[in-house]
Amino acid sequence: MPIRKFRTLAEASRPIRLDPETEDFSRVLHSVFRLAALFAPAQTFPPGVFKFRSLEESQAQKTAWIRKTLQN
Amino acid sequence: MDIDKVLLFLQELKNQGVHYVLVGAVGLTVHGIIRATQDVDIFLKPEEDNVARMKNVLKHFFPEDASIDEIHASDLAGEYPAIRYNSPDGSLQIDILTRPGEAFSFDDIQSEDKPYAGITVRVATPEMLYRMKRASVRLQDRADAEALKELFGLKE
Repeated sequence: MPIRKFRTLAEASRPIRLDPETEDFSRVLHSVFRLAALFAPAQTFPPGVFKFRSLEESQAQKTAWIRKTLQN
Repeated sequence: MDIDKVLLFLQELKNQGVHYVLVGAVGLTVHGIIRATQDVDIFLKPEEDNVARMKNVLKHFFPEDASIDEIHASDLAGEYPAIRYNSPDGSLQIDILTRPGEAFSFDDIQSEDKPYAGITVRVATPEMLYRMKRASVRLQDRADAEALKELFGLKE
């Protein structure tokens, strides 16, 4: 990716959009997920099927799993 | 989560004719807004044969995992509209949703086919993702909504 220059921090923080049909997109996508994997171990989530009565309940369980991983 | 496994999973959903719509953070990436996430969120039409096709996709990747049989259309259409599948090897985490909240059901989701890293996926439109993210209380969802609004020029 070429060097990008910004005049302010706020300008640098603005979201950017890549064209999903370009090679650059695929490269950035893989780089971001590889980096994320370094910080989020695969064993964060116990294997299996888990059923929830709402999306909020599902998100609360996910947060609990992440918290438990961080404590260990 | 392994992004290559995610791409293969999405390709297999198409191959097996599963009626689904990709939403969530992976849905954002399809529209060019890349951020990391730990799971794939999909809306699934909670009909018996469609759920069976979805289970076949999971079994395609994890044939030894008996837990996949615990996914039932009757649950998704009834008491459990959100089912999460965590694969045994940690490569894939999927939130299978049928009606998160009272606001949306499968038939309400505006979606489109989009090219995505060499495959074609069915994804919620930016406007639809914005409406869903905007309604959430999570800070990350609010930030996603703001990014969608800015990059796609969406109105309130």
